[in-house]
Amino acid sequence: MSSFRKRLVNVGVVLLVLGSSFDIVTGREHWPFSPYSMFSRGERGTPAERLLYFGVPADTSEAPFALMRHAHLAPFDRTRLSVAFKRMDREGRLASDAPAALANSLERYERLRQEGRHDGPPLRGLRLYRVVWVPEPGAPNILEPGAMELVAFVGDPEPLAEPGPPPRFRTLP
Amino acid sequence: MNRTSTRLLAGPARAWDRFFFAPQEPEVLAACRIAFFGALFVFYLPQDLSLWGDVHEAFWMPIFLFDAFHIPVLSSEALTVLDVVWKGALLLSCLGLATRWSTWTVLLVGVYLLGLPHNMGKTHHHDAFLIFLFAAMAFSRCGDAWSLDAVRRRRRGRARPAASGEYRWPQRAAWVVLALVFFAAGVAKIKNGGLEWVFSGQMGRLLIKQHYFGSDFDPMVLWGLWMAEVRGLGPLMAGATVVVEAGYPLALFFRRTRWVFIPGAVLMLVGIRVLMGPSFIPLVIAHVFWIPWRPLIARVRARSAHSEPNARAGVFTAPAP
Repeated sequence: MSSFRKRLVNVGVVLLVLGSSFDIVTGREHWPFSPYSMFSRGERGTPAERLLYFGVPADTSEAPFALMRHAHLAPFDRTRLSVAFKRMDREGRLASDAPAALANSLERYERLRQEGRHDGPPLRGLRLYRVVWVPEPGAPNILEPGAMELVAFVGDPEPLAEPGPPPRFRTLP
Repeated sequence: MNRTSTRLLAGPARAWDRFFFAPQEPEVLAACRIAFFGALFVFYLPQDLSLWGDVHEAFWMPIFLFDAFHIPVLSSEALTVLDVVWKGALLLSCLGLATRWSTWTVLLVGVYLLGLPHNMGKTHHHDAFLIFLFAAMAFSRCGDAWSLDAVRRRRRGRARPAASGEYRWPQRAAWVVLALVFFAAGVAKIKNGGLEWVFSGQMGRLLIKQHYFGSDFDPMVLWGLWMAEVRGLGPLMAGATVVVEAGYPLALFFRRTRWVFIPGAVLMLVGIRVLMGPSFIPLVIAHVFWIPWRPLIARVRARSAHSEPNARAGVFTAPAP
């Protein structure tokens, strides 16, 4: 093996270690370097708060349901979606940007459904709820969150027309 | 540099040289190449990466790399082309056809396609390290054996490549990448949580909270809810997690520890998926670089030489020391 290539490899490995070490020490992300700090922060007493999509079925006899499956949210997954909306909230643009984001997601859901890429029901609207649970041993309250706050909606005037209690939390089987 | 420091550095320099560049047969790296790119091809094939092209700009929260170099979101049509090209390159890299071109395509297109979703609100952690493995394989000569390129070279009368450091350093670089990933995770828990992370019931709370739609996948079983209630089990699991993660780099230096840390890490990743939900399949796939290919290949060749006594004897006649 030539000494030039050896030197190239050595430089590459050193840069890899230095770059990773920087992110480990600072705790900051510089993709593809990362401190990999998942699950490292304390969970003592913190509620489980998620920003979740609820689909409003075109069939008015059906209740809204939480969109949980990757096929319904593609290309997002529910975690990335929830964190993205939380970041919009921290940046002070949730109220202004969420409706357009929801409209985009609804359009894509319907397009993928019509292409046969998922088996979700037709939707006439999409709502974004802030759902909060207080985690309990055995998780008996998964379907009974402590709070559900409507954050944004598209294609469905009912949340304003009927400001009653939020829909029952349900997911598709 | 004076003579004392030269002497002090000579030992580590020799150890570094042995670790990365001691001669190794090309078949070991070839086995890594086939397993690594083949498994990634199967994993990414069903995923439609082109859908990111029509995501609303409200979700655009660029990461450092995309922000610094002003890398845009391409259209869905362009992403479809890149998606097909990238998956094709994964397959060609596995087969070892136009290996230099295919591995470089995997790297360059992969930086864009794998990086793009992380600009949409959240950085997931299951695939970032792949970029470094792609870089190692692109710079390597991983197509020199057990490849369609090697078949073409033999037909042109070219000799089988001799053992070389060229076939060891990519595998060792992959080991270093994986060690840094797990070490970082372990250090983060120690730094951010300290001893409280292990002894305060943190693991039990995590096992419960993950059932409240805490990750992109649901836990596969409800055992985590029961395990959270078993006295002492949570701290045991938390302690084992921190030991396996922070101690993983020991596997680089001490051969015997590999039997603890490598299976331990893979089991931990499987356990996370089963009990908590998050999927780290690419990280599991990357552990093919740790498989002891050399003795496996030697055993297969010894068996085939035994059953075909007139077959040409292979190089792998005994397990590595």
